[in-house]
Amino acid sequence: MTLEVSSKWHVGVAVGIIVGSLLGFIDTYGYAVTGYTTSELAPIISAILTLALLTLILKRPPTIIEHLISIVAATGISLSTAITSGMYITYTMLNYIGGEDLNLPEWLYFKGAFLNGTTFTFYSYATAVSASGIFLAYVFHKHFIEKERLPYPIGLACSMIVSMGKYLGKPRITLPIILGILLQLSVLQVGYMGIDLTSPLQQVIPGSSIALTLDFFILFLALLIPLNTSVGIGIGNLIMYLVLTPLLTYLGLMYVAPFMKSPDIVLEAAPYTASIMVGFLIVTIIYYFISARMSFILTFKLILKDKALLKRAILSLTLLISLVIPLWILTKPSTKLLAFLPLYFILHIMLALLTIRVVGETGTASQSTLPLATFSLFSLKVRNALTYVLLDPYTGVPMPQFMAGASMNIFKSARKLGLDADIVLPILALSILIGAPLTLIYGHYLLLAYGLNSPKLNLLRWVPVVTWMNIIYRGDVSAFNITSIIIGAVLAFTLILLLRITRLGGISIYSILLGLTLTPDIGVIFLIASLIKYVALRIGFDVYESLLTYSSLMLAGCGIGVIVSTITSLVGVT
Amino acid sequence: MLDTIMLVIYLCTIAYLAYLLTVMFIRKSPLMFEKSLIHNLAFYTRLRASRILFMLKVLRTILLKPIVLLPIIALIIFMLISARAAIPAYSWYKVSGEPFNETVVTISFINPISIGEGTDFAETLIEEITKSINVQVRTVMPIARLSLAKPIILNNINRSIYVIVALPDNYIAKLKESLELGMHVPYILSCDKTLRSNCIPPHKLLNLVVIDDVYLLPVQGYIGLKPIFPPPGNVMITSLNYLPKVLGEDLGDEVITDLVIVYDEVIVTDLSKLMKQLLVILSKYGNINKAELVCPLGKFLYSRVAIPTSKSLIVATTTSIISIIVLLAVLHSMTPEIKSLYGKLLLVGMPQWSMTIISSLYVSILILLVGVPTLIYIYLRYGGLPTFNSFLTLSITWLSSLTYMNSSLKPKSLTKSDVYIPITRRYDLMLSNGIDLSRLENVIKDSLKTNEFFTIEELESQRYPNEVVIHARLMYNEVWGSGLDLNIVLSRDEESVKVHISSYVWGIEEISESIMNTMLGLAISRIVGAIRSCLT
Repeated sequence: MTLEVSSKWHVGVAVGIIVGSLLGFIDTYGYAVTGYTTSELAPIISAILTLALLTLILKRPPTIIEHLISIVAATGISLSTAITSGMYITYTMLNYIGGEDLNLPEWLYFKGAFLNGTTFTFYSYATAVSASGIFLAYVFHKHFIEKERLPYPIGLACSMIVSMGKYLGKPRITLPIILGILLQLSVLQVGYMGIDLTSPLQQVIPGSSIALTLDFFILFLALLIPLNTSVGIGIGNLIMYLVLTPLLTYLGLMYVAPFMKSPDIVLEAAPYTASIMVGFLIVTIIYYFISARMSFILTFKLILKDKALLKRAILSLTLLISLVIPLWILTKPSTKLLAFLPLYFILHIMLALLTIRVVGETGTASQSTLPLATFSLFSLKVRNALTYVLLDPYTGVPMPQFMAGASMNIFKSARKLGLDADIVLPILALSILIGAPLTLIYGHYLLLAYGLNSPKLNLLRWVPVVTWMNIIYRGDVSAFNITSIIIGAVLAFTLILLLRITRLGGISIYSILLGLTLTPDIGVIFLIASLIKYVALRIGFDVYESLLTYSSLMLAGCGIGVIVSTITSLVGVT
Repeated sequence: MLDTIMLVIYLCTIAYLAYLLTVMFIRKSPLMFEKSLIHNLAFYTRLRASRILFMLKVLRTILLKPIVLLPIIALIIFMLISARAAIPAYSWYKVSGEPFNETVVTISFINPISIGEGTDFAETLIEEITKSINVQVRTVMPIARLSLAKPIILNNINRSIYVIVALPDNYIAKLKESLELGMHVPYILSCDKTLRSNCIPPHKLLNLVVIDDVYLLPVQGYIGLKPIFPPPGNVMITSLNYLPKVLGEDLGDEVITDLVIVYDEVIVTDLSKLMKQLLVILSKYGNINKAELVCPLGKFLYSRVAIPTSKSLIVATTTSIISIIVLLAVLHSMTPEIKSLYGKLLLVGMPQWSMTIISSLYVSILILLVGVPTLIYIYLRYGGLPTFNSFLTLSITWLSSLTYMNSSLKPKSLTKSDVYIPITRRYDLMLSNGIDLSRLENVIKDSLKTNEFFTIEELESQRYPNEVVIHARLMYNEVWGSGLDLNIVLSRDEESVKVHISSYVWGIEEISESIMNTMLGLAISRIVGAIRSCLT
């Protein structure tokens, strides 16, 4: 059976734009004021919101194509917040807290009521460059979905919700969503709920940290992730905070005090964990491309033969390479940097592919793969902030890797439901590009409305992020640590060997990679989720399947809970 | 120029995407690829309650035995003994060995205290110490380091203040004098460019110290070894007397967050006595967040975390061993009965692994039902450290019991005499020569298409003169992301027709053996059945 274009697809697009505009605003507000962002989970949250609105407008349950198109459009607009308003607010804080001697151009941050024209064009352009990640993901989507058979848990959850759309009114579907909303609201209301064993541990293993925070978002996401991946993330996290940070303390690189809590350890270890990640990534990226070389060769041959794929690959590269123009005009880069740029762009692509691989297993890569790009620029002695703003996907504006990973979740979801990726690509990319100016305006007007003196905009919360960026931009030698880089590389090498020799239940190095970057309170949640999944799997696949289904619904509920909380907070302020 | 280039790139990308989208819709090309059953994704939300209920019923049967009371009572008693034996010990944690000229104790409180309480605390501390050691206190300085959730807006210079550091008047006067600021100035701020009588450069503000290594500004955290301070632009330094004017109604009585005590010269032999004495006094006072001692021996931090002494750990281990002995004795006495029950359950079709789940649940429920309420009671009655000791007893008992139960109930391994036929991944059939290969091919294809347990992802066949090769990729409908690849070769020779079926089970998730066997059985038996029916 082949379905033709739905006659109401335009309703899907319109609903997607409406929901996306709302989500974009909430993401921006959440990021600026409360610290919550839901853009990576937008496919799941928008699946519920668009379904409700479509049913209301069409007076019938939407078809799969109407529903999916609206999700894609809404997700696109929501994702653009990470590039536009998110970075606009970050740079405003960096300029405010970090001092003016960083020489950030005025169009990069909030500077009075009038939104500079260059600000508009720069952030829109940076979104176009970030969209190169979507084209790259499209070119490689068959490779990752079919050849590597990656689950893309967020895409999987989205497709589950779409396929359950017709049951929305039924209690068995509605109740888990409501429960998810209530759980998330209760957590937001009560504040921190958890156990932190870090202080007592300092007496036994100085520098170590173990904690458990009641975070339903993470718990339900962890339940959706394959068992081995979940275990890998947990192990990675334990390695970081029970082996590596104590080692750093032993080596005298970290200073620990007995009253420290897990956030203190995380913050203190930040430059070293980034350095460990650099070492780890160097080995992992080499290992990945060597071990998957044959299938990549086949994919590249296919791309060269298929004109449509080739065109999109070239477009992706062109957008990425176009960064040379603003770089040349604005910073007059050194010959050394210019000579290195071709290699740096190749690194960008390799990191994008690695990010897609990690997202494939874990649902979100959470920027874990990107410190390598920052380190490359840092080791080239780049010491001006603007070069990082333009070229660094970790601390700068264009983030093709983030877009590549997030869009692959959408491709997976569409493919699972039978929608062709050809139609998803232009809708997703267009909605991101069209959403960019809109979400930038949101960011600007929120800063205008609250100002930097609002009690809602807690400056102290931004201090660690901004201090870290400051250290890098100023070229402080403590930004990266050679010993830690070596530790990271040795660890990756050892783990790869160990995993290959012992075949530890199919645990992959990529899940461990993500686990290394998570905070100690989150890592334990993944281990608990693994245990629940293991027991469910042993009881029976029907129980296991129900667990996946209800986890998706409750995850969507948690997302809506954040939205409800954000709106309540907004209404309370204004 | 740059604006135009960036705008052009942005608009060109939009135009290209709009073109792609238009072409897609104008052509009315199929948006959805062929996937016949995928729209009706199997949606199973029913729990197969029978299996869970079955296990719960068995569990109830073995839990509701009077003998179970014995380990319950034993566990409670030994946890209480373990808790009572816990003796806390506080300690100084050496941060650096670099000697300091002065001896200074800085005490930070968890909740701010009033100025009066601060003075009382300092007096008690000094009195207790001077009883046994001959040391003199030079200065006691209360400090208010307040981080405000709601900032104060200073309208005259358009600035919000998030952090206020307030000191006694005399110290503020000295500070102003050293910074060459006017004595009439009520508060000190940092300014970059504007020169004001109450302003000092940001770096100067950040580097202000109370004494030696004790910074005036609160440390927010550390990145590596670098302390992080609040943005100097958002900090105000003022006197404790001026604080009510700044905070107005928001100011409560409790403002003192830190107390700095500076001693006159202390001889090295007295220092260790002083440290011990300080530990005794500080451990009596619950509101201490952090205490720092700098002295000629180095820099030390008071650890608020009490660790169990070796004596209390020995008691915890001993009680654990005794409770394990009692518990294992009871469990051992129940093993024959459970084993017999297990044998009967196997006969009615309960899988082997569910016995492991039952025995694990049995031990865990028994221990948790008793252990958790007892732990809560101990925590409320005796506090954190005794709870840790009891938790240790509980954990050791639980782990040992779990290991014992699971190993003693483990089924015997299968021997050669057992009749156990694993479901095969390969299957060969030899048929009489009379059958037509194309008919056989159609029958097999039909059987695959009509198999309600699977959705066909790929189905292709290739015919050769005396051979047909069929390849199929099937998605299992009952488990997401799992399926199997089938390769079926039909070959004819002079005497017979051979059917060779080989399969490969795969899944994006790990697949348990039972699911794998189910899939293989459902796929292969349908094909074999179809071939057999075709012969008759």
